[in-house]
This record gives sequence, structure tokens and C-alpha cells, in this order.
Amino acid sequence: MRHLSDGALRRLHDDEFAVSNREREHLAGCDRCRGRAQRVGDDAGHAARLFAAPPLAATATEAALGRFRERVASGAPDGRDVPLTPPRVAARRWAMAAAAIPVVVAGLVVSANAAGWLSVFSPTKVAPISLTIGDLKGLPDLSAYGTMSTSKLNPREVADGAAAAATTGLRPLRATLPAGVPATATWEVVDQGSATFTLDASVAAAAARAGHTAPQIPAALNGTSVTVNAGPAMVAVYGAPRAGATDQLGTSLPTLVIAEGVRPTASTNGATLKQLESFLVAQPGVSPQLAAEVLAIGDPAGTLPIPVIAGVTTSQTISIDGVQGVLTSDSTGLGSALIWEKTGVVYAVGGLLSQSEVLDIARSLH
Amino acid sequence: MNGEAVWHMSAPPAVSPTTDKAFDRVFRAEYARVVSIAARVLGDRSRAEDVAQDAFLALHKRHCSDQGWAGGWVCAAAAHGALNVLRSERRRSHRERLAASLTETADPAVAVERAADGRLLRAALARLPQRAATVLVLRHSGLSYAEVASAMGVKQGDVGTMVRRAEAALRKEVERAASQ
Repeated sequence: MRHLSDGALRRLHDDEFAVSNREREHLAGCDRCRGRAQRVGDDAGHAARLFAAPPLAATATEAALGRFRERVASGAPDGRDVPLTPPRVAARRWAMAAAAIPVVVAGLVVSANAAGWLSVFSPTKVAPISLTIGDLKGLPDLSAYGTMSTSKLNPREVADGAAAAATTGLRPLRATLPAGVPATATWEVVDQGSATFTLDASVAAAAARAGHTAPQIPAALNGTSVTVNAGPAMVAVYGAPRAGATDQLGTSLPTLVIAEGVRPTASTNGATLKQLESFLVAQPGVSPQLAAEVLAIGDPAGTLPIPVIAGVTTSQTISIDGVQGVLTSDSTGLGSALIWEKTGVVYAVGGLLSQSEVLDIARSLH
Repeated sequence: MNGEAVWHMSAPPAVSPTTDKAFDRVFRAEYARVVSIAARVLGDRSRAEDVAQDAFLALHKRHCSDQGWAGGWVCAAAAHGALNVLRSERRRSHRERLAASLTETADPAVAVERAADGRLLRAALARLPQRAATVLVLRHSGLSYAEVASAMGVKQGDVGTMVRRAEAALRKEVERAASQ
């Protein structure tokens, strides 16, 4: 059987009946797991010694409750502003970090330049771009800029990796998985699809009449369409709840996701990407820092930006399979993802794993 | 803190007598545990009681004392509040003296060792990611896996892994500090 997960070993340290008989039997016969169990126990003991505190003298609960009532009744209860991060928000923070993965997966695109269209985006590398929560909230609402039309990506589950590869024409990937990651995956594929956004001054004018903040669209850009072509892509999800089974906190994230898809490309029938970029970074709601980040990419046509949210995710560039990838983690150390592009295919490996586990899995792909 | 999702309390609407009763029950059941959680982080009884008052105030304003998870939530709020105080605290030495006085033990050698451990622990907690520090504080304050899961809004099956990672990170942090 498979090796025990770190979590199982930790639970076992507290309670010898916390794991199944099968897991206990495996542990008895596996030197590697016993060695890991030893380290888990050592670290747990170390923490327990540091946290050991003499019992507090009896707490005067009734007196404290009395003080509490006085404080509420006095109407000046906010003596000290202690910002509390409620559990629900904390749980969502990783969900936001994880959003970087679907952004890339959903954006996996094939080049399909119709006649007269100018290819403006065919990235050959990935690079991190830093955002803050404020940036995300402040981003302009595109519905005041023009119209969007999309074709369906038609996501669906297929039987196995071979079926996913056959459907998408991509190379099936096999990975060596660490202990704690379920061996079986569900496989999903998305078709090639596209999204077209057309800048339309009349839409902007209507939004302005309706009292919304609306942009001035320069005549040179009016009527310009940008088409992003997406898919096909395939995704292997390990240790995920079935579709729709995500709990209300959005914390039921898969242990591991491995995705690959043909790189995204975009084309336009009018303005150049440089013109579009200059226009977009000048919009209200785009902070000077974000604008500087976007402009600093330097080669926007050849770089796929990976959003990194300040205070929520961190990133570093890592060499993987001979190219440069972006390794992002949520700031609490719970999850990580690695995204890279090679020979026209974007790869993403991520999940509730440490950076080194994600790197090991990515390097094991064959 | 840049980008940190922070929830600030808003003014309390009128409170119904039923909610008040539920609140009193939670207060009486959890107060000692909430103070001890904050004291583990701060090493200071009187500051811990202040943090406990703030945590219960936050619960009071949310009008959720009749929910099953209210007890776990107020524990997590106390851990967060205490960790925030710890991080914002600049004058450590003052608190360390108080910490030493808190360890009411007869053996001076044991007292010195405990004070040193407390300093190491607090320095490490201040540097660890908030979530890792919170899971450590809650678990080592005696909350069960189920209670930690409920308090932090995660699945119970994930708590073992979170505790394991946090303990490994704590040890690394303490050893790094000790080697400097």
C-alpha cells in the first residue's frame, strides 16, 4: 500500500487509533514511514515543550462577565481596534491563490489567426505580476468598455489519462506522487474555444448616461476587437470532492492538480497590443504600482503573466525542464503551484502541497 | 498589512434577550480556555484577559452565540487577537518580565528555562504565517482536531497536515533563531 501522509502520521502521534488497521500494518513494515513518524513525533514533542505552560490560577469568570457587560453597556466597546481575520475569510485566501491555476487552465489557447487579424499575443514564457486585493477590487468593469462574446469550452470528465490525451491531442503526463496524494485522478478536458472583446464607444457612452464610471475610448481604438483563443486542455485532479461537493467555505480543494494545454494566443483586428496596453493601464482603478508592473513585463506579446496577490501569494522563478517557471505559494504555506511553458504548451502543477513537493512532482512528469 | 483581508467590527444593533442568554452560556463555558489561549501566545495574564474581552466582544457583535461553532470561533478570535498584539508589540522586554512572573514555580532553574522557552516561542510565533501560528496555538491549547477545524473553517481531515507543517515550520524557525 501507499506510504502514510504527513497528516495521518501527525494524527497517529496524538492517537494510535486515528488511522486504519491497514495503515498501521504498513507503518509496522515500512522503514521510510517509521523514520518519518519519528521526525513528526520529534517536532510535535518540540512544539509541546515550547507551549507547555503552568496552569493559570483560577479565572474569575463571573467578574470578567461583569466587566464585559459594563463595557457593552457603556457604549464605548471598541477600546482597542483588534482586527480579527474571521475563519471564513482566512479559508478563502487560499481559494484566491488557487484561482491562479484556473486562470491559466481556462486561458490555454491555440493560435487561430483569421485572415486580416494580427497576432498580438503568443507567449513563450511566464512571469509573475503582483496585484493587491485593492487592485483586484479596483479593476475597471469591462462591461462599460464594449461587448464580449465567447464560445463554449465544454468542460467534461473523461475516463482516464489516455482518453484525455486522445481528446485534446496533448501528451499524456505521468507523475511520481508523494505520500498523501491519492493515486487515482479524475480527468477533465476542455475544447478549443475563444472569447472576443470589442471596444465600443457607444457602450461606454450608454454606461456614462446610466451614471456609471465610463471610459473615454480613443477613436483609434473604437471598434477594435481582441480575440483570445483557448483550449484544448486537460486537467488531472487528485483527491478532489466530486463536482458540486465543495463545502460552503470553498475549502474542499483538491490535493493536487496537474494541467496542460496549448499556450494562449490573442489577436486583434485593429490597434496594436502596445496601444491597448497603454490605454488599459491608464484607466481609473488601475493603481500606478499595477500599471508599472504591467509595463515592466516589457515583452507583453511573448509573456504570460501569472497573477501573484500581495499578502496572499508569494512567487519565485524556478528552472524547470530547461525553461523558467513561476512557483507561487499562498502566504500561509498551505498550498503551492508551479506554472511553466515549453514548446507551445503551458503546464501547471499545484495543490495543497509544499513548494518542494510541487517541484518534485513537476520534475517527475514524464 | 498589505492585501490582508481584515474584518473590522461594526456598531452593534440591539441584542435580543435570547441571544444574550446564549452569549452568557458561551462566555461562562469558554472564558477560561480563551484566556489561556491568549496567555500562551502573550505570556502575560492581564493582556490575555484584554484580548479575551475583545474576542468575546467580536462574538457578541456577530450575534452567533447560539451557533454550535461559537465556542471554537471565539478561541480562534482570541488566537488571532493575541498574535496580532504579539506582532505589533515592540517593547518585548517589558512583557518578558511579566512572563517570568507568570511562571509561578518554586524552582528557579525551571522558571529560567520556561522564560527562555517562552521568549523563543513568542519570537517564532510572531514570524510564522498567521494561519500556521493559529493552528499551533489552538492545538497546543488543547482544542481537538474537530474543534480546530470548526474554529478555522477547514475540513477536519486537513488539520493533521496543517499541524504537522506548522510544527515543522516552528522548529525550523526556533533553530534558525537559536543559531544566530
